[in-house]
Amino acid sequence: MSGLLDITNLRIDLGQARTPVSPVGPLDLTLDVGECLGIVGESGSGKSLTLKAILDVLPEGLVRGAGTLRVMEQGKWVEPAAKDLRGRKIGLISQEPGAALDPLMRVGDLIGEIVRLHSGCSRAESKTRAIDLLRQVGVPDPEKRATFWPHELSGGLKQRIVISMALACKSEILLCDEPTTALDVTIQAQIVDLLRDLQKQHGLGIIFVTHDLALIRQIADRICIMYAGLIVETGPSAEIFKAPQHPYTRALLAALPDIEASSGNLQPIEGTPPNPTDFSVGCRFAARCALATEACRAARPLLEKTERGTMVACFHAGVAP
Amino acid sequence: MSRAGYIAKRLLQTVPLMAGILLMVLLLLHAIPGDPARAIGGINASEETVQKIREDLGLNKSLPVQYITYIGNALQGDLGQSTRSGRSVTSIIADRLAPTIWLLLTGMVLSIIVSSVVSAISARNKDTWLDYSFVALTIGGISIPTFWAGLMLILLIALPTGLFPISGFGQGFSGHVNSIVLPATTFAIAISPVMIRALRTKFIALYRQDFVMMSRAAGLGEGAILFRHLTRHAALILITMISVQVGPMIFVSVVIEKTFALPGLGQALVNAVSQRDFPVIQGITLVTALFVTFVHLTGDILTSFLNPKMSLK
Ligand SMILES: Nc1ncnc2c1ncn2[C@@H]1O[C@H](COP(=O)(O)OP(=O)(O)OP(=O)(O)O)[C@@H](O)[C@H]1O
Ligand SMILES: [Mg+2]
Repeated sequence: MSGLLDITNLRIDLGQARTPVSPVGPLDLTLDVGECLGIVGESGSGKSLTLKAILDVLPEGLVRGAGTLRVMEQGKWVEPAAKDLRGRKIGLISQEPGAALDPLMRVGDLIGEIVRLHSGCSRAESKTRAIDLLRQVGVPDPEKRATFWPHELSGGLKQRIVISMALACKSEILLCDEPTTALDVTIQAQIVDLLRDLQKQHGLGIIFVTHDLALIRQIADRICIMYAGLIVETGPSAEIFKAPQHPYTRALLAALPDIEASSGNLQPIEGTPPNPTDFSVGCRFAARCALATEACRAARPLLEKTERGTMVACFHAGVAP
Repeated sequence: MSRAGYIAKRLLQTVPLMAGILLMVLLLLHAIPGDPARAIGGINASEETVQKIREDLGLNKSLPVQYITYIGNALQGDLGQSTRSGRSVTSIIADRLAPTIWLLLTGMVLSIIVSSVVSAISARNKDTWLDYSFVALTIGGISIPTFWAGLMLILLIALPTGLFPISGFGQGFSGHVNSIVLPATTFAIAISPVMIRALRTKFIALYRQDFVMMSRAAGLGEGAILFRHLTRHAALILITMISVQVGPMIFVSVVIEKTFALPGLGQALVNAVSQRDFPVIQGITLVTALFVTFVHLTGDILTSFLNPKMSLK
């Protein structure tokens, strides 16, 4: 497989103090052409921030404090500015399709605006292209739907509009931030199918953030388990589901009542994750971990290769609890 | 309901509103304690004079008859005669209308421009010294009395530079423009601070919206986001603000007319009140109410074009 995206040492800082609080990172991410990378973690673990940091669209007060981001461009690794990636190379799909569209513009115009921006075509041409895009993402009767206002569409259709905007200029990478969480189950399946079709058709690389372990198991080639802003375990999806090494991953999987169930949302684990302001020097999971020792509290374990081809950040990796 | 239907309905709604306004205006006369004709004539007027006033104003007829007569006359542009000068109220209003309309329109346009620009800059540079100084200026603007702001402009700009007249409405178009600059500025000083505060809050909230983040992520620049997307949202707020503020605006314009000796309706009203010239008071009240109704109507119609979610009922 050939590389598509390579992020090293990404860190997100809160404010610009000399010793900033960093809710996320430092962490590394890679993505290959046509690959689907799943990111899983509890609420607040920093999944959304990570995706937003890739395009540098973090909420105010947060900044990308460190990190290099390279993408493959015609066989060469380059390090473009975030604004040259937005909508051109990388598209974003958000958790809440209802809030992602400007309510005061017709959806056809919203898509047309993005098309015009990236292709420089005429207004009339962008209109037909917008309708083509709507057809591509499976919106029925696209000519008519293009004249609708966002509030006149269902959640599923809105998410399709958002996807079409992310695709408007042939993005090669889609960042999906829980794209199905706000939708009901049947629509969820449709959107996931659509994303997989698009992935096959265009050879897209997808980073897929979700709470749904059963879903991630189906679609992800590799997964990253995030805890309190850090990746604690990563590797091929099959390996991680077969033999999780990190106590947190084990807890997540154990909390899953039936791994074969159609939908398995994360079950709560005893305790709560720490706030970014309370991050300790040691392992951030130590407070909730049955295996924690003095060593865990004194220093943070880094990601290390295991013999199974995965990477795990734990001094007690693989030890049965 | 279609938009055309909504507009038609909204227009029709103004008919009973106008009837109500006319009734209130008529009752103005009867709000005078005791005998209105005697009050208008004054303590020393003879009984014949008072009787004549009574007949001229139709006070000897029953209220419904007075009402119907008043409406009928008003529809034909006859609002009665001034009890002081004997001139027709319509012609007095016609003479005095232009400066007031100029002041209100230029003042509103200036306030809209100033508040949009300042609030957008403030929100984009939130919590910087620029934002803080705008906020400080805004608070200053809210706390100074309008007449004082006008006097300061006269003292600090008109008198030293000699560029602008300190009173009157000037001759011809350029004269009008010249003499409206400082009054319109005073108007903006009085009205825009409240609008800036509301708009700044709105812009800050808008910049936190998901769709702004998503537009950025799709590659849209800050200019496109501000001018193609956020301005529509801001316009909706502005329209609402203007509808709500039209009362204070009229009050402010009366004060400004006085400060700059603009021969407008406000001045005429103040004079008429001091002379107890009721037909003129009634006429100007009617015109003011018409203006307020017009502003609300225009605001609602514009909103129906901008906001697809507004239920057109
Ligand atoms: N605008 C913000 N300002 C300050 N801190 C923030 C902001 N947004 C998020 N955070 C902090 O960053 C951390 C990660 O937030 P993030 O939204 O990335 O979580 P998430 O993993 O996407 O959670 P969820 O599954 O609920 O979407 C949280 O602990 C939160 O407290
Ligand atoms: Mg999230």
